[in-house]
Parts: sequence; C-alpha cells; structure tokens
Amino acid sequence: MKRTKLVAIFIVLAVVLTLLAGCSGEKKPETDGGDKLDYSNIKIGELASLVVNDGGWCQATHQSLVAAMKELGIPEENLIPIENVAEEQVAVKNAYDALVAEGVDIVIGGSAGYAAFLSDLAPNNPDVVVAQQGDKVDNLIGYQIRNYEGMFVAGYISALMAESDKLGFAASMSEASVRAAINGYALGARYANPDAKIQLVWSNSWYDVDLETQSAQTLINQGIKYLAIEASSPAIPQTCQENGVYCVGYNVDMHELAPKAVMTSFTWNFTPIFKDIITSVVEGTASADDYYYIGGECANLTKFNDELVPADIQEKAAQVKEDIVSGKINIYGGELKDNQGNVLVADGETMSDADINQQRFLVENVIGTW
Amino acid sequence: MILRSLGENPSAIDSAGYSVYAQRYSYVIIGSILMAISGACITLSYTNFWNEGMTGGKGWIAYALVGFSGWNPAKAALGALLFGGISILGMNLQVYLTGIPSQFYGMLPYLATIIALVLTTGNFRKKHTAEPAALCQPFDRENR
Repeated sequence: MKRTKLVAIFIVLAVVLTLLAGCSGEKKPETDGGDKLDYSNIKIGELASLVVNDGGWCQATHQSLVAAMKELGIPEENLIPIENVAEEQVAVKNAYDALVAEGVDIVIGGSAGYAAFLSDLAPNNPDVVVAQQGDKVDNLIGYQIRNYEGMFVAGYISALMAESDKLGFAASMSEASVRAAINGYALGARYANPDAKIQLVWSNSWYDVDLETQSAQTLINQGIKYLAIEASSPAIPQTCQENGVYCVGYNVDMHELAPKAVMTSFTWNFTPIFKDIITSVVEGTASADDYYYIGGECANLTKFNDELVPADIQEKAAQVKEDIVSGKINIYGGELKDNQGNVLVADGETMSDADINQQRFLVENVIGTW
Repeated sequence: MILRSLGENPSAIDSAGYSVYAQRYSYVIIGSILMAISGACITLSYTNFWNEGMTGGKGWIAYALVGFSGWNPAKAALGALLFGGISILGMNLQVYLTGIPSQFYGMLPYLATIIALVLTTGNFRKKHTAEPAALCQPFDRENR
C-alpha cells in the first residue's frame, strides 16, 4: 500500500516538473517593437472559431488573409492564427492577450461572436488595431460581405435549371448573415421564376456533420432537386451527390468534394477588405470607426461547373451579376414582403444597409421560420 | 460469466485463478476497438472526410444511452435508433409543421437525453440497476 502511494507521488512530481520545463522552454526572444512603416514588419493575429483548414468559414477567412498578406508582401510567418477560440469572454481574452504579447499590429476577429469581448479588450492596447467580422461594434473596425449578392445569382441559376418551382435551402444557425444568404437566394430564384418557393430546413448547429446530412436528406426526400446550403462541412454536397441532386457550395469552393453535385460555390473573398485594413494600419489612417460592407468581387461565385450548368445559363448569370454591381438590379428594392405577409420595403424604396445587415425576416417565397 | 464477475466483484475471479489486470485491460482494448470502428464509420462510411469536432457532441447522447439501456447492449441498439429517429423527426417536422420555430425541434434529442438520464439515475432508480458494482473501482490485490 505504502509503495503504491510513493509511486503515485513520484508520478505526480514527474508530470509537474515536465509541465514546468515545458513552460520555461517556450519563452521566445522579445520581438522588436518600435515603429513599423514597412509592410514586412507587420504582424497579424487571427482568432478562428474552429481550425483554419476547416473546409468552411474559418478557412475562407484564413485564405483571404494569407492572400492579402501575399499581395502586400508580408511574409506568411507574420500571421499568427489562434484556432478553436470559443465565443466566450475568457477564451477571447486569453487569445487576445497572447497575440498582444507576440507583438501583433492587427487582430482579426474571425467570428461574429467575438465582437462584444474584443470591443471591451481593444481599448487596453490602442496600438493594436482590431478588425471584427460582423456588425459595427464600438472600438473595432468592422467588416462584412454582402453575401446576398452572390447568393442572388446562385438562386437565379438554380431556379432557371430546376424543373419544379420548389428549391431547398439547408441552413445552419439563424443569424443575420445566414438569413441574408437565404433571402438572397430566394429573391434570386424569384427573379428567374416568379413562382419559385424555397423550402428551408435548419440544422441549428454551426458544425454538425450528422445534422447537416439529415437536413439535406430531408429536403431531398421532399423531391427537391436543387438546393443551396449555408453550412461549413462537406456533408451536404456529398449527400447531394449520393442522391443525384445538385447544390451550390458555400464558404469555400466545394467542387472537389462533390464534383457531380456542386454547380458553383459562394465564397467569402475578404482579401480586398483585409488589404484595405492592413494598408490603412500601415499608413496610420485606420480608425475604429471604419466599417467595410462590400459586395461585388468580395461576394463572388466560383467558376461554374461546365458539366452541370449550360453555357447560356452561365451567360445569363454573368449578366445578372453585372446588373447587381451596376445597380440595375436592386435586390432589396420594394415592394418586398416577408413570409408573414408584412411589407418590409414599400414600392419605390430601398432597404437601408443597416436593416439589410441585421435582417430579421424571411422573404415571401421562403417556407420556414427563423 | 467472467466478464460479469469482473464488473461486479473482481476478487471472485482473482480467487478463481484469473488475472484481473489482464482481463480488464483486454476488455478496455476490445471496447476501444469498437469505439474506433464507430469513429471510422463516421469519417469513412457516413461521409468521406475528416475534420476536428465532427462528432458534434454525439458522445453525450451515447453516454445517456448507456443509462437508458440499463447496460443492455440490445436495448442500447434500440435506444440509438430511437434517438436518431427523434432528430430526423425534428428535421421533417420543420417541413410538415412549419409554424413552430426550428430551434424547438433541434432541442428534441437533447430533451430526450435529459429525460432518459433523469429516469435512469437518482431517485427514479427504484430497482437494482445493472451498472457493474466494481465500475471505476481500482483493483488492488494487496488490499482485499
């Protein structure tokens, strides 16, 4: 009995010593502080809610950041991503403090849930600029993409290709940018076919392979042949491929995952935004009042799958995209009703950016609740 | 029989001449193999990719299933079908009963988990359960 206890004490001591040794070993030499006007000295920290190669949202942010840095001539090792940062106060604070200790100039909050915590933390280090995805929040530069522009085109081609009026949408959690994607898709489908209806199914999870598969399967069982998704995993495109139906990928290019099902993918191209933010930081013109809410090249669809989308539809889609950018198509122009029958925008008027960005409705031809 | 007594009263099989450690370790290894197969099923059969956190909290439902089934593998298999059915039911209800917020349906499997846990543990556990008495009890030969 005594021997067992001794052994136990020895093991605990060994573990503690190993941990202590690990801590002291990780001390790094102080990074050179001082003024940086040169791009190559800029250090950027990134907070990711999952891993940066998650095949979805985090990967889109990360890839954009890497591309922006490359174009500006910032070495890739100057990017310090912290993965799996939970959307809660302690986790965000720890990650933020670690990045500040590493001497970063810019922190990118890659998930909307960090906003409130980073807003409180940012004033502690005025030298570190914090850019946050989502709505405009005090003390942070905000950035968001008008994803509905890309999704409008996606809905447009789906409705042109579908034989029936019913399209499907497998969505994750009810959040404003997700609703914007759904409504964009629905409005685009209606632009092509006034009778188009979108059946919506929520998985109520940001990342759940099982639920996402089930949500797609539910829609497919309804006889729906074309669906859009707002989900991070490859589960839905693969389910579509197995069932011989088609979908529009989301977040990143999903073509490789299901080449026989993915017609095109909506991708978040944050690169132009990140380039602007980094440039403004280097030039010293960055202000916490800055807000980027951009569509156009930021909200593109990837190259169409030639085997699935006929050339004439591709041409029509390009025309629609052009018309959106030129303002000829006013996606949130009146008259616009929600699916409860309320008038959202009167005839001849346009919804304000603030209302679009924080939308709390589903448009008329969406079947479902938010 | 050896497996039963290993769980209920390891001293008994020790007296019978079996090695408690060898038996326990081999069952842990067999159990781990089964778990690994079920994990491989998700990445290789159900979908064909891997990503961090892709089980999405299913482990908790599996844990609830153990209590729910009263440690009976056949009942556990039935229970797994039931839980799976409840979550698919939620998806389909979103299509057929559109008036109710989808979050309510998303809650159903977890609600079932909580009810199962409450009913199978604590004060609701009227009769003797099949939970092995020696579960998580270290076996120490010197200390019998």
